[in-house]
Amino acid sequence: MKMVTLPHRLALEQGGGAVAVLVAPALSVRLCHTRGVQQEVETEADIGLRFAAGEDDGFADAYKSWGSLVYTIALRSTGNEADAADLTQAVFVSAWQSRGSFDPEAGSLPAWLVTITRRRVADHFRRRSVTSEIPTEAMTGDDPRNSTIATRPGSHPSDVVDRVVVADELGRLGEPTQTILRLAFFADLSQQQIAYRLSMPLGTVKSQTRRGLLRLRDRLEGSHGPL
Amino acid sequence: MAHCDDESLAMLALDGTQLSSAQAAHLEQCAACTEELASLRRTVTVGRSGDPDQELTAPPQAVWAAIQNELGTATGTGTSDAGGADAEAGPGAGVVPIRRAKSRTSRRWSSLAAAAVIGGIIGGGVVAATVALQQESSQVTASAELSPVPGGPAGPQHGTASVQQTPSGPVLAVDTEDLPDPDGFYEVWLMDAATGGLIALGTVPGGRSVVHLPIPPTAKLNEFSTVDVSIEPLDGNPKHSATSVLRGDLV
Repeated sequence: MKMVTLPHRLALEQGGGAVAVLVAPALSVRLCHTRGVQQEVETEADIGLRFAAGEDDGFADAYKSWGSLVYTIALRSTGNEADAADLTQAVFVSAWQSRGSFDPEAGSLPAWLVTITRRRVADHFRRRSVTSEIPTEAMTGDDPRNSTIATRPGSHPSDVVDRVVVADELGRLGEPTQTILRLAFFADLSQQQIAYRLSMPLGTVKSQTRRGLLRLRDRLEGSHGPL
Repeated sequence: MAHCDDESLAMLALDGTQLSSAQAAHLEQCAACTEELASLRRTVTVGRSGDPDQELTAPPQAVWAAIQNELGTATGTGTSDAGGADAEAGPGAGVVPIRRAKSRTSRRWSSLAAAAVIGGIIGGGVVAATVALQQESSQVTASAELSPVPGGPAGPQHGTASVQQTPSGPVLAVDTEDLPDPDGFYEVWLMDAATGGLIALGTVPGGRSVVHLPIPPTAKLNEFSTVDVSIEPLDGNPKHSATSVLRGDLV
């Protein structure tokens, strides 16, 4: 197997074989190969390398892989398709034109694309804040943790981006990690309850939870770009 | 003691599972572990407040076309054969917003997108759009409402065109909507209504798009003051097909 230097710390699912997971009725039954996750991670890194090298197919593959992520972020942020289309175009054009500043060893390409998307979303709101009564600081997309403006929770443009990014990464997790985290996030089950529900050892559940949460955290933080 | 282990911090962030007293004491005076815990907590908060069934929406086909047009490169392009809509699909096009059955994961969605064929932006004369994203710094000196031509193909297509003076010269910004997928391609012309003279500016894709086409600086816009969009066959003949789908006068 080709050795690939991965740009960031990831918990790779080890080993092959299919994992059958029996889950709560609200969630679906999935059969998938843990090996597939490893391949997807390597493919992602490979696209990043080709993109950085200026290869046209690297750019096309980046759009194929993450065009919808960028567009969905833009759509949820701006609320209309025309602005979302313009914003998506702006992100990919400027990403390609400034590909020299993307270092595939230092970070992942989708995270870098989302960083650009954040700035475009912030610009979008900055232009509109001239006519709105909402203070500019609340629209700048700056780190909401530093904001002194009391905005409605979850309404900050950066929150919208965060939610799409984490939900997207959650969906890319392999099994059983994804199911475990979904049960923890949305069904509010404790680790013990998840272990019982999935008939897995508690230690395994905790270990998978740790790896999955770290991966989500890395993707989220990576998508905020250098501070 | 050594730093708090990842798992203990993850458990604390997720459901408040208390640290051991030794770990708790360490946390109180360790900035690194405190920040680690904070970042895990933020992740949990964001994850919990997300949409469990989030489905990504694919961008319209026109977006990829507009990107390639703007970059003016052959990025991923190839000539499309006459095979129809699929052959013209850009990467990620042809993947309509999927209302998936709940049993499909977004990873499956990714591989669907990957299977979409990269087609090209077709047309005998794709003009490289050299204007960068400088719309705010350019000045509109004339604009036209584009409507279906009497005697030409009817339909929902419409658009606007505006002449913009940019730092790199005059540009025609063509914004079109609801252009049906052509059998062939669409070409934008500046027309002298009095003489029938024509200046070809470039291609626009079907659907919805915004395209910036450079205008020859020596073109006399007071004479060539009509914007025309025609449908052209891929026959290598550069002449106007005489079938116009949109037209409007610059004022």
